[in-house]
Amino acid sequence: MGAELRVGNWTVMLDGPKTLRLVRHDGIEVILPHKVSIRNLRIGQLMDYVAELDELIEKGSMTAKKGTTKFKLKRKAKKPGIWFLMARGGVNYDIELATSEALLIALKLQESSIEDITLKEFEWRTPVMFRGIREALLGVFSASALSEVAIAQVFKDRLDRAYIRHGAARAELLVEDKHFYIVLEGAGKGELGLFKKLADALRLDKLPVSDSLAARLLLGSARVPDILEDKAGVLVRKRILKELFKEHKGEMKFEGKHLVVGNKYGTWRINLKTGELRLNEYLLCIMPAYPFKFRGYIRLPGLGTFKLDSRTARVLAVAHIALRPDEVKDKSIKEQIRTARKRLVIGDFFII
Amino acid sequence: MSKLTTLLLPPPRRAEVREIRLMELLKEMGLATDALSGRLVVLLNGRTVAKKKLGKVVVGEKDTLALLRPVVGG
Repeated sequence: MGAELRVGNWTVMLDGPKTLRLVRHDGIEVILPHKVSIRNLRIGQLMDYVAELDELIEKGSMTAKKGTTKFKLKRKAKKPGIWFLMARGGVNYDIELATSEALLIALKLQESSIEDITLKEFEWRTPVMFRGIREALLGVFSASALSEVAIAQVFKDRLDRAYIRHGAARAELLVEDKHFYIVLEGAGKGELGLFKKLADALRLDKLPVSDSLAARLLLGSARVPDILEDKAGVLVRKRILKELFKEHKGEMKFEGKHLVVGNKYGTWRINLKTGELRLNEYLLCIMPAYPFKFRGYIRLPGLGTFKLDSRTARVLAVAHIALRPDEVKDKSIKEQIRTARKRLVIGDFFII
Repeated sequence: MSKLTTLLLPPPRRAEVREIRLMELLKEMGLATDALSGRLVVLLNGRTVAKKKLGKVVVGEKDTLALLRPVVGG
């Protein structure tokens, strides 16, 4: 039997390494799944949780503002145990929630976005060299961040569609067969506009959205252009890579968000969301040579010529390095490839 | 995919992509100087087209062409 902790009116229990179960004296229960292990969760955080939950239960309503969206969460007077969540502004939808779902979303709406920034920063910077450390660091810096995937699950059960407007970007976020999709109705002239033209030409009208991004979009902490670094970006780039490098079909393997290329240099991994390139797990530092007037173009058979957004252009440029490393002329990239080639990866550690 | 589904799908958005000399295409796009000076990577079906071959290569209807900004190590 796991340990129990009494905090105010609540009994707090562990429900797995990342999940807390809070039960109030009157039987109200909320399950709080976190992004990472909660072993570093502070007692102060628990007290904040129960104070916020008690206040919401007593008042029966709360409001919050995230980005350009105002949220109103209210207990329905005529329907016991049912809450109503309304989002207006940048994001627009109305849903009904059970009490436990309403409490989880309320806490997420009140969560500071500092944890998200820290988490992103660490995801980007932490080298793969000591993967175990990454989890520990995330635990220290993001102990209180509630899981967006769990929030997404609530929306999957309750939401049909939401309308989003961020500047020139207009989109409809849909839930179909427990998956999120986005339909871009307007995208402006920037990066998203370029991406939309390409996706439209490829007949990808309905683009997939990850659970995590969908939850952040619906709670006002992400913007429509963030789809460029999500599943939608991966899907469009995969199609273009297959078309452009069809002669290398046998060398290319797609694994989730990565393109994996194996050749005499070792294993190359390209992150199709960000354009990050690794050879034998060694991160190659690559940047555009000139502050050029364009990022790139692609001419696809039967479809026409399209300007590329910067992420897609970067992915194509680094895929070219991985597939044809002998054609690399830049001295610094050549030097990095030489270093990475010498590296041998055993498990999670490098032997240099 | 069933025949009915195929019939119901909208027709592919095909644009006319004619056969053209690569240099002619680059001139049309205003990128010939950049390509000749090496400030542009020209990939035809995934292979780099050398500067001296830009005038000879023909881009066919079924070819895929990418014009990319060169990258350097940081």
